Amino acid sequence: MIKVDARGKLCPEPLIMTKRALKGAATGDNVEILTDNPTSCGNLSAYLRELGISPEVSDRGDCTSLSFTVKETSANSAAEERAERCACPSTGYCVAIRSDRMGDGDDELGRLLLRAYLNTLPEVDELPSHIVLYNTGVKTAMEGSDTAEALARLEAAGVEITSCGTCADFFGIKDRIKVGSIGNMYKIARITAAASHIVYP
Amino acid sequence: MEYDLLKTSTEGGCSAKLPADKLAQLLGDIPMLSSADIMVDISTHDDAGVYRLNDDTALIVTTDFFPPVCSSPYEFGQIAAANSLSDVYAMGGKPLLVLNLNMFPADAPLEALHDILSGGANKVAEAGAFIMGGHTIVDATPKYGLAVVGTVRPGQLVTNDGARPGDILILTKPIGTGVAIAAHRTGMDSKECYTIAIKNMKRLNDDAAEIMRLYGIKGATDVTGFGLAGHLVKMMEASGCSAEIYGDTVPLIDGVEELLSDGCVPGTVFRNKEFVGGRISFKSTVGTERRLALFDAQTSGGMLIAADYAKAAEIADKLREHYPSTAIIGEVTEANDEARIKVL
Repeated sequence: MIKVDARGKLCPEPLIMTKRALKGAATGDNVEILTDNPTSCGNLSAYLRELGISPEVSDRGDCTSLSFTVKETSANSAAEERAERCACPSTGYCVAIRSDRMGDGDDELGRLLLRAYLNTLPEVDELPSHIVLYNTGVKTAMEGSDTAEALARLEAAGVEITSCGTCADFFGIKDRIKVGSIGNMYKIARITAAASHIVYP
Repeated sequence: MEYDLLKTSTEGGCSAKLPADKLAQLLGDIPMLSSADIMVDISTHDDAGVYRLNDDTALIVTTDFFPPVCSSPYEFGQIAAANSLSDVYAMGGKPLLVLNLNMFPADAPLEALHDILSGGANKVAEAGAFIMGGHTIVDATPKYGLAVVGTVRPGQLVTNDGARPGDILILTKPIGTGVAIAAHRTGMDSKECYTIAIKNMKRLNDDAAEIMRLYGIKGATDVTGFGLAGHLVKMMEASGCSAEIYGDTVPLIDGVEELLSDGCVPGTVFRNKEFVGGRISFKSTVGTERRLALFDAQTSGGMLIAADYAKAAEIADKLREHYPSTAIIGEVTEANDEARIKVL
């Protein structure tokens, strides 16, 4: 049992003491925090919830006890959490649809190919985290197009779809974009910068 | 040994505010007279009241005072004054006249009071405004601030209901002053963080106001006691919009993320979090420290500006010349049912 005696301490000290104890704790350890200040008690509960811990709160007469068992994740230090986050990109890969056709050559064939690509994409093992649509690519998200349905399926599967607002305005189809959201260049630039890699079909 | 102001109070700066919901509740049944010339009153929870004198001039009135946020009396004076003046800047105006509001313990050294007033005078002079007097009473905890009268051309008025969908959100100062002060008060090893916080709190928002006038900005607010998330929610509700925030681009004072991760979370973070409640949602990739930082009460915080999309990058560059931490932190969207603020 790890004891944190925060009696007589004012915030944020009880929180700092708790976090220090957590860093030294191993999975399965029992932790008990004692506090005699109602505000600190409220802050401690809120803080533990923030860390994904639901403590058992009991009244000890002259003080309050918050106790819990350390689970695997709550024992992790923030530095470790950060390292984990940095090890893999926060987003997966991104598919950038630059036009309503796939490849150069015959336009009709190009449209056919793009539709086939979007229909096939849900079948691949790893879905993209994002799809961005720009230039004539935004037309693929237009209601009534033969590609909107495939995009809607991808969106339902958790893929974030963003259409370029300036492009939709340019073609006068902003009201007709029914899949995903409309984004500006800041958003598109951010998505593409954060992606592990970008696929141009 | 120099008199350490920070030892006189447990809550300092804008974190010493009464909770917003309690305030709204008790103000509810107090009747207020209205006038067609009142351009901004308390109903939109804006930074200051605004009254139109004629077609060229509107008066801005505001006041703010609080217990110490730092150890040095002179710096406390500077910070409290910069914070009070900021409400005029947040309306797009210029400060004109001020009154000192002061509370000071009977048994504390009078040099400290002199230094507080001297620090305040320094910032008022920098703002180009005039001290017309003030009032000092004896109280157990020192408190200082200003009542400020400013002016603005009615057409250049900036309010918190002036954001529009498509606007880009720009923040001029890094957040985390509440965390930095708490760490300093608790005696944690955080000298550099505290120094940066002090420097930012002392910085007037005058240049931000000037740039807002230059670019005809309509929507802005300064970030203070309710934290970035709280003020953003208030601004979006007043404007009838929602916002998407790019969590990783919000500037944080160096060292604040580490302090938060060490458990240095001021109580106001949880109060502000409760105030915002379900009106904010976080994507799972936003780390705990960044989430908490968005609720940190700021003292004399930066300007949160809703800028026209086409001009946003240029405006941010201009602001960065004066406020190096300036960052584009998100965008205003149409109001949606999910959450007022989405942090991505």
